[in-house]
Amino acid sequence: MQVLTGEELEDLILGCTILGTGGGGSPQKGLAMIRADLREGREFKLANLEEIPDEAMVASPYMCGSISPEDAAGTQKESLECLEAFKALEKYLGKRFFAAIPTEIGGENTAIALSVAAKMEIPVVNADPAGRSVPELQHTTFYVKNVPIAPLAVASAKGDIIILKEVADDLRAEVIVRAIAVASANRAGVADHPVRGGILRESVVPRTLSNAMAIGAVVRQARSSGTDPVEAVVTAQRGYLLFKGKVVQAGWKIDEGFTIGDLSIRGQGDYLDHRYRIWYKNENIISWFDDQSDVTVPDLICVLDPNTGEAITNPNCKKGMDVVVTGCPAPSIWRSPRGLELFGPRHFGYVMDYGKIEENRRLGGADRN
Amino acid sequence: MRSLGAIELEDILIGCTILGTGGGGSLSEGQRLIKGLIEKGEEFTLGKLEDLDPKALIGSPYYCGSISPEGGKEESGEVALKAFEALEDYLGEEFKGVIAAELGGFATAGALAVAAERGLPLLDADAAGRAAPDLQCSIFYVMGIPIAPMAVASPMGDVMIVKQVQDDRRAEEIIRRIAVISGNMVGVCDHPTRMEMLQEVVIPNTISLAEKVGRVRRKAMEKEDNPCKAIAEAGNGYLLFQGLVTAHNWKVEEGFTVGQIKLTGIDECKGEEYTIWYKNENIISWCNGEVDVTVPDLISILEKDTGMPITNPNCDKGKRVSVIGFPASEQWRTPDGITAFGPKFFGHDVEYVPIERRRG
Repeated sequence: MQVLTGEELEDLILGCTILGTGGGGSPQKGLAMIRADLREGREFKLANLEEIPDEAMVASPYMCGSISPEDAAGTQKESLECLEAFKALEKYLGKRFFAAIPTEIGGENTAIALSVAAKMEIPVVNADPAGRSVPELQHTTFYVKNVPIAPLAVASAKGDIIILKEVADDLRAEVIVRAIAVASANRAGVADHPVRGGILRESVVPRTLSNAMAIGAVVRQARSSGTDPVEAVVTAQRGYLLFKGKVVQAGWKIDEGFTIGDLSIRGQGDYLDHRYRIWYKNENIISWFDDQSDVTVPDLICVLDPNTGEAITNPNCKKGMDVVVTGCPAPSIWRSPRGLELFGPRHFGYVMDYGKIEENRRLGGADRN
Repeated sequence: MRSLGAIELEDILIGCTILGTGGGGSLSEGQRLIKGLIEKGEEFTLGKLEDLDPKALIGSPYYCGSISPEGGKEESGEVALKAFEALEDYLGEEFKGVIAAELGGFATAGALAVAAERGLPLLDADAAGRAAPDLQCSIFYVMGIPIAPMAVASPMGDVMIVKQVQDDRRAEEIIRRIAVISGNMVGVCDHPTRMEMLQEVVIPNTISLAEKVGRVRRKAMEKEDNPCKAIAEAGNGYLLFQGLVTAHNWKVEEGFTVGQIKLTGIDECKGEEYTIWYKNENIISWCNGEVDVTVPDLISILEKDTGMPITNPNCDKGKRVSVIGFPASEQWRTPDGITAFGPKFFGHDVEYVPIERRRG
C-alpha cells in the first residue's frame, strides 16, 4: 500500500488526463477536489490488486450527468454525492468496502474515486475497468467479463437515495441512472459494480493508476529539465508520435448528452503537406492520416500541447492551436473479440476492421490486413 | 374477512372505474387480469380494517404510468407483485395485507391481484377514495405517512429500492421518469405501514362502496331502470349533465394523459354546454362556462344508457354520456387536503367549493 504525496497526485491527474484521450472530465476540477481533501488532512492510499483480499468488496463511485461549469463549491458537492452513493451501497450490502476503484482513467473521473476513498479512509485500487476514458457506461472490462453492475446506489443533491437492486443489463442501468440524474438537476452520484477482490483481479486492467502517475512524472521532469515533454510521453506510454501540426477546423455539438466533434490538423515540420483528422465522441475514437484511417479505438489517440505535454480535453481543442497527436496500444482485454465488439470502430458506425497501432505500417509496423 | 366471488369482483371493478373519475387504468385490462386469476383458482378476500392484527405490516402495490388506448400493460406482467416482494425482501418482513393506493378499474385490480397471488386480504379501504393522478394526491401524503422505502419494478426486469427521498413530490418525479423510460409502465409498492397506524389515516369502506356502486348499476340494468341515476344515489352524488361529446383533444405529456372534453346538452340539458378538463383523472368541469365541480370531488363520465364508466382518453366524439359527481371523502376536505389535491394544484385559479354547496 502506497501513500501518495501531493506531487504524485498532481502527476497522477496529469497522466490520467493524457490517457483520457480527450474525455474523462475536467482535470482542473479533479485537481481542485484533491487539493481540498489534502487541505483537510486526508490521506490518499493506493493498493495494488494483489493487496485486495479475495473476499474483500470493492465498488466504483462516479458522477453521472452533465458537468456544471467550473466552480469549487460544485466540485466539492459532486464528490459528496458520490460519497453518499458509496455509503448507501455499503449499507444496502451490509458490508464495508475495502477500497474504491475508479470507473475510468480521466482527469476528473479518477479524482472522484480518489476523493471518495480519501474521505472513507480506504485505499483506491491501482486498476480500473477501462485503462483509459470511455464514452458509454457499458464500455467497461466488467461488461466484457460479465461482472454485474447491480446492485448499484444513486444519490442526488436533494438527499434521495435509490438502490438499483436488479437491472436488465448495463444499457438499462445507463438509461435508469440518467433518468434519475435528469430528475435531479442533471447530476447524480453513483456507486456500482460491487465486486469481490478475487473477481476484481480477473476483470479489470491492472496498474493503470501507477502507469498514469509515471506518465505525469516524466512530463513534469521533462518540463523542469527543459527536454521535450511529448517525447517523454511517447516513451512512457510505449506509444507513437502520430502527428504534429496546427488545428484548422474544430467543430462540435452536444448530441444526446455526448460531445461529438471533428478536428482537422494541418501538418508542420516533418508532417508538412500532410493532414490529420480526428473524430470524437467525448473521447477520441478514430483518426485519419491524409484520408487513410490511422488509429481507432480501443487504441488510444491523445492530443497534447507540444510545449507543456499536457492533454487537451474535448471540446477545448480550438482552431489555431498547435498540437501533437500521440497514440498507444489499448489494454489487451479490449483487443479480445468481445472487447472489440463493444468498443471497436464498428460500435461507432465505422465499417472497418480494427488494426493494432503497433502493426500500422506508416508508424513502422507490419502490414495491416 | 369476506370471500369475493366473480360477480362481486366484477361489481367492484366497475364501481372502482366509476369512482376512478376517468383514470385508474383500463377496466377491460383489470377485468382480464382478475379473470385470469379466477381461472387459475386464486381466491380473493376482502378484510375490514379491524380484522387485521394492529402489528401487521401492510403494503400498497400499484401500477404507475400513463393510460392510453394503445394499451401495452399486458406485457408488464406481474411488476406490481415483483415490487411488492422486492420491498418485503428489503424490509426483511412479509406483508400481512394489501391496501389499494386508489380506486380504479386497473389500479384496484392490480392490488387485488397481488393480494390474491399471495393469499392475503385486500383491505376494505384505500388512500384516495377515488383515483388521483399524482403520487402525492394521496391521503398518506396529507397525513404525513412516509412513502419510502418503496420498490419499483419495470417490465424490462429492473428492480429498484427508493430508500430515502426528500418528499413525496420527489418520489413522484423519480418514479414518473422511470415509468417514462420503461414503456410508460412500472410496478410500485410504497407506504409500508403497520395496521395500527394505517387504520388512523386511510379512507375506510371504499371497496365495499365501489361494490355497491357496481351492484346498483347491474341491478338497474336488469330492471331497466336509469343506471346513472342509481349510481349517483348509491354514492350520495349528483347527476350533473347529460350530453353528446362534440370535441375531445388529448395528448401524453410527461407521462400524464391530459385532455379536454366538450359536451352539448341533450334531454333536460338541451341548449347547455359542458366542458371537462382532465389530467389522467377528471379534474375540473364547467357548465355553460361557469366552474361546476372540481377536485377533490369526483367527476365521472358514464355511458348514458348503460352507466358504464368511460376512462380517459376513450371519450369519443358522438358518444351520449351522463356526467355524475360525488362528494370527496372528508379526509380531502381539510386545508391540507385541498392544498394537495384542490384545483390550484393543477394550475386552475379557482377556490374549491364542495359539490353539495354548488348542487345541493
